[in-house]
Amino acid sequence: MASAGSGDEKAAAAAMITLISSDNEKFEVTEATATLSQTIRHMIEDGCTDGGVPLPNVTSKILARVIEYCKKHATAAAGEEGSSSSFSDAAFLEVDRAFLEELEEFDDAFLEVDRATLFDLILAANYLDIKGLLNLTCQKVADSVKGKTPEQIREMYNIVNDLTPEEEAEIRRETQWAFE
Amino acid sequence: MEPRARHTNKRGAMAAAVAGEDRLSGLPDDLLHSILRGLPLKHAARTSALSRRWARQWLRALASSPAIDLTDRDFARGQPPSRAAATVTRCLRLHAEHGAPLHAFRVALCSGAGAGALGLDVVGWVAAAVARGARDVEVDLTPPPPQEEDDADHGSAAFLEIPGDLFLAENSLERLALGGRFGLRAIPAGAAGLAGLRSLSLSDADVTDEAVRAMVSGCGALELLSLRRCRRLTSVRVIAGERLRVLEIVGCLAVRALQVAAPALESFAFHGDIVCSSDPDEEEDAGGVLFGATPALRDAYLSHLGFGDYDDDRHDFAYFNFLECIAHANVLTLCSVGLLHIDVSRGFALGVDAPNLQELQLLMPSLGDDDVERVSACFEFISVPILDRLFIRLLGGPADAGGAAASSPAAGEDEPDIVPNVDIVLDHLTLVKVVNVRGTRCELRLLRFLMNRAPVLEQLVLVTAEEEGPLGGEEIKAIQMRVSAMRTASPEARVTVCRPGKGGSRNPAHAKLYHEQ
Repeated sequence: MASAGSGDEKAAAAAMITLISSDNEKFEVTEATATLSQTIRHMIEDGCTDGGVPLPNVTSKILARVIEYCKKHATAAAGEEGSSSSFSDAAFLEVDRAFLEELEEFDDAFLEVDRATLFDLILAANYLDIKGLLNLTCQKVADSVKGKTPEQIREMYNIVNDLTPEEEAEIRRETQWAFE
Repeated sequence: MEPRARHTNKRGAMAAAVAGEDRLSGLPDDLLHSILRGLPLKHAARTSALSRRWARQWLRALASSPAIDLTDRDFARGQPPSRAAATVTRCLRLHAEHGAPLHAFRVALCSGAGAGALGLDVVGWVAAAVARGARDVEVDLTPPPPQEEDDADHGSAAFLEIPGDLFLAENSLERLALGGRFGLRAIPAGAAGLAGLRSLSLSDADVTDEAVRAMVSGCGALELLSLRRCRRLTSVRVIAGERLRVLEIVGCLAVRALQVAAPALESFAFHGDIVCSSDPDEEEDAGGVLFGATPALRDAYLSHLGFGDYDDDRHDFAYFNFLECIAHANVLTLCSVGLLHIDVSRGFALGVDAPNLQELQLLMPSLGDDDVERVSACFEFISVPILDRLFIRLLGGPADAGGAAASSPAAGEDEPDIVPNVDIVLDHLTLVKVVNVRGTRCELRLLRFLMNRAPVLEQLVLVTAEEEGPLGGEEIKAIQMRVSAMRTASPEARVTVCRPGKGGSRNPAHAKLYHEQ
């Protein structure tokens, strides 16, 4: 038993991955956390993670947030796998629900960032191919646009209207149904 | 992996920083599309007017998605059908150019008078979607409901014939929903392209009894069949395989005979006229309802609201026969027309056993003394040994409410109880929920009847009526007091009076009410 335990520890230690941000900061994370990123998963599969994984277009500030997200959701994924075999068990369903609620709260709090950070997170999630984070951050932008007029959206996101009045009139006529 | 570099153009970035950078528009197309797909169609379409970068981007977002869903209400109603159709055609073309897989194509248009003009377009869409491997195809051309019921007008609008070769080839189609004046006469029986269907919904279609029969027998995998307002149907025969779980027949008003053989049926809904032979002199088996064994039936919805009173000559045991076919369900919704039929025929019939019934919902458009007595008669007639939940949905419009209120201020004399049914005991009933309560005398009478016969009642929930201004706090309190003061068979019963949307109590399994559609 004891040897099995230390074997597990070794395996866990071996499964640590080093991520290196664009400003050269190193982050040690477990493989389970890192492989939420499909990009990193492929790198691990290709065996090219020795000496760390350089991520030249993710700053340390953003990478720290991304890792925070991945840690939380990696445990969630592990929990789901563990309980799926006893899916019919009401007690487990209850636990699952509590866990999902907690996860939702985490996501909501996670999204409380300024707009620049939100866009950095979108780009990082896209580059690292983390589907959950990408959906979450894109939806946050979508929600901020919902129900707003084009004028309001332009102001919110500094969008310069480069349509000629004729073009804009034509587009508005085409999509007139959406403006009523 | 070579990291993708963004914001490499320093001069551009600096210029943007001065004006306030537009990072949203700077996102690559696929991310912009992800954001647009997170918006309701209408809000996505509005972004078209933001700038050149955004012009028609919402359509490209849709065209790069495996599910094209253009069933937005405003899309259908807020523009002429021809313009909506042009957008649908353009979207499908973009989708084909983009080359992404297409799983679902759903569109709703208001066809109105211009339905004929859309014919070729619509057939082209369905053909394109099916050819691209769509599993789910839905086209809804339902015209806006006519102001007055006008059959002559219905007859004059042309049906859009589906060409016979559309479903000849094998495809991936699993769900097909056609709403509007589609003609299905040209589709050959046993078409290979429909053989894989698991769900088939037809509304307002020009479909014959024979066509329904042929389609059901040709689709061995069919799990759901929905027929709505298919007015040409007179004798519906659903001889289904082991797969059919859901059957819905709504508003098919000419149906005089219904034959169902669906051993795996779990859910059945019928809304329409009483099913019986239209001619009292006809042979007995010319009309009526015939059900094979449906041991798995979980829920059944049987409503005739808006159709038919009791007609001695025609109706006889028609309702009773129908009810008997479905009474073994766990969940049942019945309506006041049904209660009327029960009341009239119970002198001649033995009664119905509902041994598995756990939840009963009664739809009551009005609640007068007659109705209260019919509810009690219903419990006398239908034996419900394990009924756990009773939902009563009062539907009284303002006119009805006025009448009731005039005759019966809540503070009036207590009426004597309904006497003839003293031996009814609902000894498994734990929840009674009445929706659209106004505090009328008849309502209180009904409640007194129920509470006296439910020894293990745990909860009585009264939800007040929505329309004509919600009841004030005082009125709610008054109802609460009067109901709480009733002599009850259960010492545990808790009474809750609340406004619509409050209270968080359980809701009936049948939340969809067909007569409101």
